[in-house]
Amino acid sequence: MSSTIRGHTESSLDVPALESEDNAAKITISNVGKVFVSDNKLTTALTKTNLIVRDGEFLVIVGPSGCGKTTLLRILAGLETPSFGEVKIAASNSDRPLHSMVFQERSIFPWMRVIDNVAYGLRVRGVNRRVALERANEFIAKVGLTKFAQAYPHELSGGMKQRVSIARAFANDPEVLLMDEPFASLDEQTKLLMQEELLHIWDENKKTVVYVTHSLQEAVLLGDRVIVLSAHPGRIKAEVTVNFPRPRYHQLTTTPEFYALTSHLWELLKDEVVTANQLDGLYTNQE
Amino acid sequence: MSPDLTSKDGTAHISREILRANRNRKILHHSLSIAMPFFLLLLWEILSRQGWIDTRFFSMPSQIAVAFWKLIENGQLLKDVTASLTRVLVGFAIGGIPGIIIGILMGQSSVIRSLLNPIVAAIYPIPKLAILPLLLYIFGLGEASKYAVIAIGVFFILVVNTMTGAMGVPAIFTEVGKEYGASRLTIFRTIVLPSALPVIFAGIKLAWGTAFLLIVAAEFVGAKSGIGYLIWNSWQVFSIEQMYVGLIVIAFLGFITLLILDGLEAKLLPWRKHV
Ligand SMILES: Nc1ncnc2c1ncn2[C@@H]1O[C@H](COP(=O)(O)OP(=O)(O)OP(=O)(O)O)[C@@H](O)[C@H]1O
Ligand SMILES: [Mg+2]
Repeated sequence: MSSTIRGHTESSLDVPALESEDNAAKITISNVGKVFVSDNKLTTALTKTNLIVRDGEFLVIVGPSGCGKTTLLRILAGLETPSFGEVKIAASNSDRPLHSMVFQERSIFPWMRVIDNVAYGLRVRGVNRRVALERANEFIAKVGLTKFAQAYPHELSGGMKQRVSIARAFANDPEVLLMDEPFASLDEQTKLLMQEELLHIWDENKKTVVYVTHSLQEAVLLGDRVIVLSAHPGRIKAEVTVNFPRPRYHQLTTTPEFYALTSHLWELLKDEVVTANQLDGLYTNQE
Repeated sequence: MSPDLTSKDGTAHISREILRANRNRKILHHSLSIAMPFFLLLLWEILSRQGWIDTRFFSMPSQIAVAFWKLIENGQLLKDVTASLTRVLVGFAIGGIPGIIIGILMGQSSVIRSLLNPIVAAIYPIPKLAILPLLLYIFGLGEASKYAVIAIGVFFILVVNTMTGAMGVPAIFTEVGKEYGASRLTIFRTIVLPSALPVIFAGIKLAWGTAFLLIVAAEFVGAKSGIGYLIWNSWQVFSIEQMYVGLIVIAFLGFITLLILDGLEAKLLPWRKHV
């Protein structure tokens, strides 16, 4: 069984071939592009994108603001249909949901207590209430909100709300996790803790993750592979493999190898950020 | 439901202080709110006894109290209150339930909205009292015409408010529902409805106030019971004190029932200000 999201299929499919069996493709993105229509204007958010995410891979996407990262995740989540190309996600286990997304913006329900927010995906799937709440509590503990399980979202801080939506996605136990800048609104210290927790959870059950971030440190710390998107309209500009051994901890960020890799990424990204923010003038003056 | 903020160390008594200060302030405000009407009544009584207020138009509070007691004793007040409340409740149910359902349908489906919105928009601004004569003509002088005027008044308010609420559900919430695989019905039950409830509730309160306005006016003409009848009849027999009793009772009823609705809202939707 697999889910396919199809737009107008374009002819030439230049999908990279699979390397080996145990690196089976989990997500196949073939020639995917997205054009938005609003006020009779066309905006190209994403141009012909080809990408294979392997089963169990932690894939990170970086790119300047507005380059189509969220659009790509929304296409993977089935919330947006691609204007052309198609996306395939291979499902291996019919009991588990295929994907869960941690949204970039505030997305937890103000009318549900934290515990019910976290249990939402499970309850929707018909998981027995007691089991769902137990599972929800487990992940609420993992994001450090046990004391707030019975609180309503308006009693939480912004960062705590984001932790709830992370717990909600994890508790749902999907085959693919889609995470759109999940830690962007957290304070620096909580972010460090959550990153390690994420690494820990991921080491435990090796889900396929597609992770969007603006932080290059985060990209290198978490990812197996980092995809660099070009400025609007987005297309894949480069791809960097991260070979640091796992399990990884924060100590990694202090090593010269880590530093070398993040600066390499920055070199790749710099021009795109400049283009995206139309900072050309400023940039040349500084040189 | 906040977690306990007090801790073992020295902050516990400070927390208690803050709570006490907060409680004291609330008690003070409540006492002021309650004391104010009594103060005004006293002032009124004194001024009318001094002859500074014309008692032909503004009866002395003490005389109103006597009339009040008489109406309670002979059971007429209870009868009138029951009659008015029954009419409001029945009319509210007849008009309100379909109003909320149609409002939700209009909020959810753009087709239904295109179909019905012009009609609703055209009828909504008509003062519902203006159609009372027509309703009396159709339904006669009995209870049916009272139910009808309240049902119609309440219906349109609730349609408009409920539709607004059901349309205002932020897209991100329904997308979360979709992403987690919820069916349309589940999305409706777990997302659309709770998200729209605060606005629906505001509509219910508005409609409730309007229902009281309508019932009193409707009882002025062609009714033999109810608070409106009491007020109108008092005018006809020049019993000013009795008229004041009617006014006070209707004000009190409206006030108390709105208080109950507020309490219900706070209990059912503690998150209502944060959607
Ligand atoms: N619904 C929409 N209608 C029209 N244009 C859209 C829509 N959604 C996104 N876009 C446009 O598509 C482009 C890509 O948007 P997207 O949200 O994917 O960017 P992003 O890479 O996630 O940016 P950021 O890092 O700031 O979150 C932007 O130019 C945006 O204006
Ligand atoms: Mg984005």
